[in-house]
Amino acid sequence: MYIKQFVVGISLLVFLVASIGFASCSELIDVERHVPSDFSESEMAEITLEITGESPFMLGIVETIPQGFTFPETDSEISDAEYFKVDRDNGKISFSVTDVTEVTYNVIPSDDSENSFEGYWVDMLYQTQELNEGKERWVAVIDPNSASNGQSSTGGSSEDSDSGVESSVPGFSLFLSAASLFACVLFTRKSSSGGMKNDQE
Amino acid sequence: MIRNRTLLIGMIVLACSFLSIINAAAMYSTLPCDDGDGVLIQSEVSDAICDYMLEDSTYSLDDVGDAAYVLTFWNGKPKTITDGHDREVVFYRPVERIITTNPDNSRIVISLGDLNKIIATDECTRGGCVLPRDSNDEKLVVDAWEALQTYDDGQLDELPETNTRREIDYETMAILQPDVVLDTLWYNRGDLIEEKVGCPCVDIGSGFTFEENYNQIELLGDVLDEEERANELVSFIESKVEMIESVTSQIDESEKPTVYFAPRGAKKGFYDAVEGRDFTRTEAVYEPLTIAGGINLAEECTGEEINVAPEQIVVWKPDVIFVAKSTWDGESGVDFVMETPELSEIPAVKNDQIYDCFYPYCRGRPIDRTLFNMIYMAKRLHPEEFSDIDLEAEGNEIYKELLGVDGVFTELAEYQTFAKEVY
Repeated sequence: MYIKQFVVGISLLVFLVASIGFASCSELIDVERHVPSDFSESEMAEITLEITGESPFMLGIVETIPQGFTFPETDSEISDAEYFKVDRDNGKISFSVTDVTEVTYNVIPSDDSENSFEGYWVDMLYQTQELNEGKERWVAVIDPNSASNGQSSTGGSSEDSDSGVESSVPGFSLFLSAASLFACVLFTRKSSSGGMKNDQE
Repeated sequence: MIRNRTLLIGMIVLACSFLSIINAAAMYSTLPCDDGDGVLIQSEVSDAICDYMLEDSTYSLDDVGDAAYVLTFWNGKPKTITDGHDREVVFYRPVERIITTNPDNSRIVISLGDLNKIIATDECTRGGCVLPRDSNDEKLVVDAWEALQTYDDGQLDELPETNTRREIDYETMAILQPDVVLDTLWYNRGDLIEEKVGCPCVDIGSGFTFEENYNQIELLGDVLDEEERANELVSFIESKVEMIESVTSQIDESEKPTVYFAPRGAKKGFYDAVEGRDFTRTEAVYEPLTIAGGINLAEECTGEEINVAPEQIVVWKPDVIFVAKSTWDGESGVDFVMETPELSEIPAVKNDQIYDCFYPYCRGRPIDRTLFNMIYMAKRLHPEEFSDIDLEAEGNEIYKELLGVDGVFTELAEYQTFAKEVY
């Protein structure tokens, strides 16, 4: 019985992983974060994201502010960027940037805050054959003052890219899905016939 | 109970699969991230991007990326093109996944720089029509095969095959979820492909007039958003045509030799009943020949597939006969013409003016061979006027422009040695 559950579980897992898919990336754009050298407790501080790239470009950017930092109360105090959204619960701010070389946002530090901003950007105009991309094309925002500067991105949640599975075959994900589906159906059929046999016995 | 549970799980998985198929079908008839009005605006796409970046969205990166592309390059609206059968084809997403059903379209996609978007193709693109193979099906010009890398760092023959000469594997095409299928003009099956595969299908192909080739390149440039490169390619071909035509247009008609062109060769004699063609098959319109300064004796013939009687060829009294060599390394049809008693009295035979030429077909009408024949025939028909043109250099330049690979013609001429006779 456990074996049956295991097989079904594995099939579903494979189906799920295959649905996520993987892709490679190569970009000619950079996003660099500039933070003040000192933060004063409860005093609003401006974070600048400097974007270099050839027009036309369109980026998605997400920044996660360090624990202890908060966003100002109103959106107008947070940023004057044309398109942004804030997730206060998770301390995140996202931007949609079109041919703009700089966006800024404000944060309010607390006394024991650390400068451990984390951010990623994605080139929205990049074309790829992949159908089900994960976060392989999420690129880390460069922070010249951060200890983690220069580290390559593993994605906002790194599960996908850390899995070590790679496929550059378009449709491979679908094939994997189909294979897992087939395994599941096959197993279901086997399981059904087994049940009948048991009943007859 | 266990059986019921397993059955339930199976049904859920099946339902998920059907759902994804339905979603795939919807992908091709609506703009991604659209609010339903059929036009994407900046705020709509930007909202979708912000939500995606916060991981608070049902849209995938493919959805928001495609929406950003449509907004940036198509003014937020679907793109409509008119294909070679005057069909209006609407694109709701950029073309990132291409299936070609014939080598003529594959070749132009490669020339436009989008080889890495081809996800499946036909047996002849994988075979010897874009890059050559010998009669034993071995690859010739191996360096060129290796240089043309597909999306997976593979070679052309490693792409999945989704159609043969007469049959299409619609199921596999649909599973691969292309953004477009590029089909030939011969079958007029664009609507059928769209219905069965669930994506736009564009009917277009090459031809024996340069205008047809320009139309094909420009249309594919439009489909792939590669208009600039398409214009470059058209200009390149125009420059080669101009190079020859500027000379032959100055030659008086009375000084132009009359030519019988046997584009299907003569390996099987006058007529091969199996394929319905051989030496007696000809073409009424073959611009490379007329631009090269020859008078096509079949120009008054009508119909799609012209077979003339051997007696007609005798009556025409051609000054020159070009017999296409159907394989890169196979035998020539010239001997048949020279040794056949029925043809012995025609001027071309008596004056030893029977020549091999490049086979102008390969599951289509390859533009590379069209250009080679134009230059080669010009040098054969008017050797003095074209003595300064270097066929080897021209051939290599043409392959470089079309496929991006150096030295291909030089290597091929080792098999088609007739070309070296006019070097």
